[in-house]
Amino acid sequence: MKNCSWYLLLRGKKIYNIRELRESFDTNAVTAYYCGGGLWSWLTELGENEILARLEKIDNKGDIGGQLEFIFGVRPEPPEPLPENTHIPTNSREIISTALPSSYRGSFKRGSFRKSSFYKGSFRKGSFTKGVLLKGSFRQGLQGGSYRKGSFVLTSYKGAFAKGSFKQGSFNKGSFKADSFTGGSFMNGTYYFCENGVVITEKEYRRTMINLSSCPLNEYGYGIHLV
Amino acid sequence: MKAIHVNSTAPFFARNKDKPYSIESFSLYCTVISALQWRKMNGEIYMITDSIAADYYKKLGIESVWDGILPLLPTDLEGIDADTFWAAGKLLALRDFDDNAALVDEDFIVWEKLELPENAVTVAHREYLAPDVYPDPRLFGARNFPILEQLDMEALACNTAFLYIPDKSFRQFYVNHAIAFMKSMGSSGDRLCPMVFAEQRLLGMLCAYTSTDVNALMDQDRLFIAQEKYTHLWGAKQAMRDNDEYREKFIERCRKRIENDFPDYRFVIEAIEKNN
Repeated sequence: MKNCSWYLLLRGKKIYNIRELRESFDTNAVTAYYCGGGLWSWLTELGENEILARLEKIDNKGDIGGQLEFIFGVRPEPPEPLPENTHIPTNSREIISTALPSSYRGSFKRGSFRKSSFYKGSFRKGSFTKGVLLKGSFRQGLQGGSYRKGSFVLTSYKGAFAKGSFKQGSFNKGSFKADSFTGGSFMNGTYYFCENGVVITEKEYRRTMINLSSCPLNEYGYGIHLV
Repeated sequence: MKAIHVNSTAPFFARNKDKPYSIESFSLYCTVISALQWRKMNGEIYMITDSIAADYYKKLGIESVWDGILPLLPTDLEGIDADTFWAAGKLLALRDFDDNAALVDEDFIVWEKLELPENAVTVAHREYLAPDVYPDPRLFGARNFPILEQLDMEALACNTAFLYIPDKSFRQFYVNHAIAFMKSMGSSGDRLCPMVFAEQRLLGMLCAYTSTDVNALMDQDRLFIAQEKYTHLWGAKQAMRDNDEYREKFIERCRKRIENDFPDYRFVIEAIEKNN
């Protein structure tokens, strides 16, 4: 039996051929590879043209997983097509309310999306408290279009620099302490320490200041002075 | 080491339906330097794009800054909502570009020669899970995405301004799940959280799920401490849109950089200026 040069990951197993796929069939994972497109290239490399032709006929509005199970022979009959009047939620709010576990639904319905209590409840403490605390201005920045891929660290540093805590030669003032250097920091000889693990040498400190003063764009990204 | 830039025009047209396609000058300059500097230090780089942007670069006359422009992306992003998932083109490119290559954002410049591990995923840096950027992903309500229940919600996200996944099987595992997520989401009106989940947080989760090592080019706690290896414009793009002086000074520095370091490509400056 021909093996593919790369494997599908199903149930923690590396799947290189059709036999292995049938033996370890995982409907959810195969559906993801089908929706993501990788299943097509995997089957193409294996030369499984007959299966590819059957994939072409899948009704994407129906039970995709069930149809895949039937195509790969792990289900004897094709799934029943969904009734014509089946309502498929398309509005994101509607999808969210139906997809959430029941414990979430109440709070979602009661509160607004951004401010409701489920946010507090659903996040584990450790997942973000170690990092930079969220600032009120951050969301405004996002709404203003200034974001690019989750720049929360950037925002807090920006605030710190803007407030001049670096320029004052102290890490104990302004937003720097309040945010990224939570818990306070101090200068000890030629090193700057802080409790979240960042250690800045005096040389780095000076270079950072020079770079910031020579290129204000470094407040919004990094290494821009190098251009 | 091979690299790819990726540019899909679909997000532009999702927001500017009746406008001709264009790219801001400062972005073009940064893209050019990113490509030329990669070639100088690390090897070949290709632009993976769609037919519209491929024509745009060719008409502009800057196609030679890459080793090739490959119009592999569909202009409709396979039905993915381009406004919500403005970086979906990167994931499609990673899926469809056959060779092993690092994905480098056009606003990311690598100034040094890289030697990356072949048994790990290399990313620009990790990101903490700030709740306004990375909310509980179950709240997105994506249908047909049950793997979420098996993933570690505390795995840090990965900033993919730079991304190298040498293992093709893991690469396909990641991009197929990310694409499946985007297709299952539809339009949400939120242009940040679903995108960074699919592209960045899911990657961190899937690395944890498969016990794949993550190698970060930079420590996320030291991004803004001066270094000389990497440039990432990141939020500076918006700052340049908002501030003419910032933008002009940056463009002037880009011109000088091209003249000094890449004199054979001086023509690019004229091409970009003519485009304004």
